[in-house]
Amino acid sequence: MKFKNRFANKSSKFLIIFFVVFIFVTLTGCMKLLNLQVPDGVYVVGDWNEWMPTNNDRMNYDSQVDAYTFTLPSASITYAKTSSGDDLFVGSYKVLYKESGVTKVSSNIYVWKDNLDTSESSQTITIYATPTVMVDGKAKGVGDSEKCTGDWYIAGTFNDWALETMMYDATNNIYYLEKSVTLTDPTVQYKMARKTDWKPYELQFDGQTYNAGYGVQATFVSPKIDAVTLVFQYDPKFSVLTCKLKEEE
Amino acid sequence: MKRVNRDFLKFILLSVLICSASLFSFSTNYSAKFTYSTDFSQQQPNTSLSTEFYINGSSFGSNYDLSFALTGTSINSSKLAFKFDPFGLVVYKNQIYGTSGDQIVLYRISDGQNGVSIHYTPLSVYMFNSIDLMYAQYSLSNGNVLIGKRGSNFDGAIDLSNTFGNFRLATEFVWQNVNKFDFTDTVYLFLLSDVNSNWGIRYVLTPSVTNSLAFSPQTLGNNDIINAWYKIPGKVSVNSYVNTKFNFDNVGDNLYDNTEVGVDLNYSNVSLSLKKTGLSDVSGIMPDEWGKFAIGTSYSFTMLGFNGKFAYSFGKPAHNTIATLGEVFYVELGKSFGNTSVFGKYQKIIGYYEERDALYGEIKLAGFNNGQVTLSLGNTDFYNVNTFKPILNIEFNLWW
Repeated sequence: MKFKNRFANKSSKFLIIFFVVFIFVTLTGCMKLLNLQVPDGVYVVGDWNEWMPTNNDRMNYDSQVDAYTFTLPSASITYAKTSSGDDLFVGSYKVLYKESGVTKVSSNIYVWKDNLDTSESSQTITIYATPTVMVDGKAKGVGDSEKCTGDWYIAGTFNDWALETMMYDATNNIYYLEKSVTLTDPTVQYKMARKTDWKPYELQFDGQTYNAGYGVQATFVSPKIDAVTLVFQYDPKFSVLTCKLKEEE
Repeated sequence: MKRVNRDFLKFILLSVLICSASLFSFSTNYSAKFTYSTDFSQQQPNTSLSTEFYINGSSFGSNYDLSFALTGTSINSSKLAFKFDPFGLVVYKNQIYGTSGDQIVLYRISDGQNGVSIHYTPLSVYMFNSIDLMYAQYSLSNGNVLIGKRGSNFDGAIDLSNTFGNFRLATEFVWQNVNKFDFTDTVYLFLLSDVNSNWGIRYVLTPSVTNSLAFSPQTLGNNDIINAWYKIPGKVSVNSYVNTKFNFDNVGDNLYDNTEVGVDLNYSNVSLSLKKTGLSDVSGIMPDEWGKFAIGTSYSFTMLGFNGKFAYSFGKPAHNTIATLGEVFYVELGKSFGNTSVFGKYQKIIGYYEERDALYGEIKLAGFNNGQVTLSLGNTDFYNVNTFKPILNIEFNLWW
């Protein structure tokens, strides 16, 4: 009788119902239960589509560049004041690839507004992606035309972190720097930036993600020390940053 | 009102420190923290070692209180209070002080600041050396009068509050930049609630949609901001609320876009919350057509000596770091074995196209007379970082 009374208690009923629903939902999850998934394809997402891809946001394969491309009006991106505390504005987007159960989502790819000619309302940004190079959660394999314009700088342990201008090879569309140094330590750490004061911070690149903050940098272990020539290369279309010794070529 | 001179503050503080140590009762305690950290997320593991040394001291006399903390050889924070009733003077370094007591909270100070406060009941004057602000607050029996100076601008505010039976009625009038004589710089607040705040409606009105209150937690941006709530206390407690904001020239659309409706239920260790923001983005019956919404539930438990918590949420945005629709699973578990305690937590986010896992584990050894060792793996800030960070920390805390 006592048990019956307790069971009849509304609070106990509430608790039991809650547990049943809780366990069911926890084991299944609403996303899988309701099959809420993006259809296969390569997409660009950002503020303009509230980060939810639609058919209009699909990238198309361009055989000339051997990559997926997408043309985006630069005004589609929402630019906000950067964490640099200056009057520098950046926006961002991501590229996502989903095919046969494999999903890769790039890290935020930042776009520096001050590097765009936004006076023209028709200004566009071309976004590039190579799914085979893409790494989930990283920028690698994704880039855009904004990164192909203006200057890039590089610094590291090889030059006591003093940013140096990278040269631009228009034929191959890469930024590069050849630096003859005397290495005492084979480990070379380095990072790129848009300006000599490292700002905007969202455009510091370590070969993995943009917005590579303080203490985050790329590492190259040289096969030899003493007098060497380091060659840094950055492909802005696909955010690939490498370092090698010139003698290796 | 002149800005407080930093050197003068240092002089006062050091003088009293020396006097206190030599003449009055003075107590100190010391602590040190050594942290050895290895970050395996880099191509080359990045190792760092940091050491911090603290001295905390206090001295009490009949007319003054002093407390301070030193990091290394520099003063990290201190507070020195002189009391000669009804007069009082307090000098601060890196202390959170001086939040105004009005309804809107015109000045909220949430970070450590340097400065001085002077009290002569019912008048208080707060001056800050580290931010360009000073203000005076005159406390009435049923409200406050505030006069403040921010940079070259002056603010004024008056708030009044009264109870009538079971009802409480409060109002506030704020005028920013009084020296510019622009009436659009005004803000009005009306509040009607029961005396226990179990129900209420709060209405903020401002002529300008572009103004903001520099130091206040009250956000503006719309002509009208309304918050209404109704709570049912009890074994199963319920808190329901409606928040909305709109402009004079676009009432209908703004209400449709901005209105937030929610309900929170708590029963014992179980909680359930539902929230819907805006109605204009609802386009169908499937959750990906519901626009912004949040459904959340959690359960805290104790079992076999373990304290734990399960939580699940589903909605858009899925998480602080995931803007799309999605769900978040969260579990934490902790247990103490004598002087040793272990704690772990795991979070899985399943977004519309992203899946992210975060993990953190910690072992704490506290079986020492005046020390503690903490070994941890991962990043504990799941709110801002949604992936596992392979960072190993060993932290030694010593005190004597």
